[in-house]
Amino acid sequence: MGGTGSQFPSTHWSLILNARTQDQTRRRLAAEGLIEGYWKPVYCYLRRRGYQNEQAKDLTQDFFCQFILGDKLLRAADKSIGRFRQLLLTALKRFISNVERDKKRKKRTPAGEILSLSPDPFAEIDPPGSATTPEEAFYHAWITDLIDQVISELTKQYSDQDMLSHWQVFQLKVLGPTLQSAQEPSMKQICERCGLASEEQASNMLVTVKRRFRSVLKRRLRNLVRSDVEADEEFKEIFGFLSSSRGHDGG
Amino acid sequence: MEDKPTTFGLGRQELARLWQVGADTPDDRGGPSEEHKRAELLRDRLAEPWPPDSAAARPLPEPLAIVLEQFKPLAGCCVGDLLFDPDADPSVIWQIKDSYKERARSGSATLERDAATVIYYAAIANALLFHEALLRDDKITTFSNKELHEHFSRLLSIPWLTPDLVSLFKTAREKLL
Repeated sequence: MGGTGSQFPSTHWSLILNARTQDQTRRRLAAEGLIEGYWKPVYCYLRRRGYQNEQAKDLTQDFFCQFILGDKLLRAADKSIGRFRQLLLTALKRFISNVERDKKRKKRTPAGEILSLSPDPFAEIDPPGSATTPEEAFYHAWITDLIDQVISELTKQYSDQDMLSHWQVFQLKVLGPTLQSAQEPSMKQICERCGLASEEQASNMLVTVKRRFRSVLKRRLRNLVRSDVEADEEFKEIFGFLSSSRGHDGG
Repeated sequence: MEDKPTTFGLGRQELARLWQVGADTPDDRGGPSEEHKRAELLRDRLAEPWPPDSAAARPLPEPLAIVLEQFKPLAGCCVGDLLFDPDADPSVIWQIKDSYKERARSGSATLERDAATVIYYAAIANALLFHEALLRDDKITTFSNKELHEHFSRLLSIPWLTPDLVSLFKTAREKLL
């Protein structure tokens, strides 16, 4: 699963900046971090565009090689340009448009540099049925990767801080039911399950975790845009996308 | 890595629920907002088992208490499961409607009464969508279609509704057109 196992530097943009450096090791690590973090939206776009798994994997690698290691994307990804999501998607559309025009798909390897990601992050995944366009498939993967990163970070935080009971309440009340499409249990049931003295205690624990969820989500989102205002806009835009046309997902 | 949960396979409705955690949770500077409390209470009421635990519930009027006895095998279902289920027993939907109508009138706090009101209308929406006979023949509600449309529209302006309820009320309202 791309992204959840990676620990990004404190700012996303520092990854991009590091990928521009002349220092080969830092450049390579940063590039691999970007690829590991963003291969899924690119791959899903290509799959929804009609490419089969192996073709989509090849093109994903080609895209990142050309635009990241080849500097084209990174030169453009100045903080003043805009949201990284939009930048990546625009570059991807341009790339695939050229590929389909040229009808050539051979692996492009920048001179003297070969990408060898280990373990191979590219897994065969099918974009969800609700993503009816390549852009929606990209967006869906982008959003789910972001949420997965938040969950991964919080899981680690609560484990490290020995506050697993807080995390358990959140898992039982929010995360588990959402992942399993099940109805959430009542606070009374959660108290019984977790051995908590009162529903009030459980509620307070839940609010604490939700606040941290919000904080981590907003921080990660903020790393992908230029400003606080843009982060708020991005947040609302994503919520609007998720709330609209909640169609059947085919499974 | 493969064992970690991932949200990739979720639909937009489920993802919206998680995203909403980030939307309506108060930040660290203040306590829970009124809206947050209402949202939490509503989710909790939807998660309550049906029929309600007789030891925990306030005493119900005798007709309802008798009905509850008949439907004890439903224990394990919760109110939310039933409200969104097209195959829920119509008589159970009617009981939920009556029960929450009573709670909307006599609940101890405004937040409780408001949550009960939402569930009351959700039961009517379920009947409208999945059990037309309850509306047409059995008159589960005396509201006219016009009145129901207005009620559903007003409910849809409530910011603390769950995504499931938004979808239910929207679909029910569309059917009234």
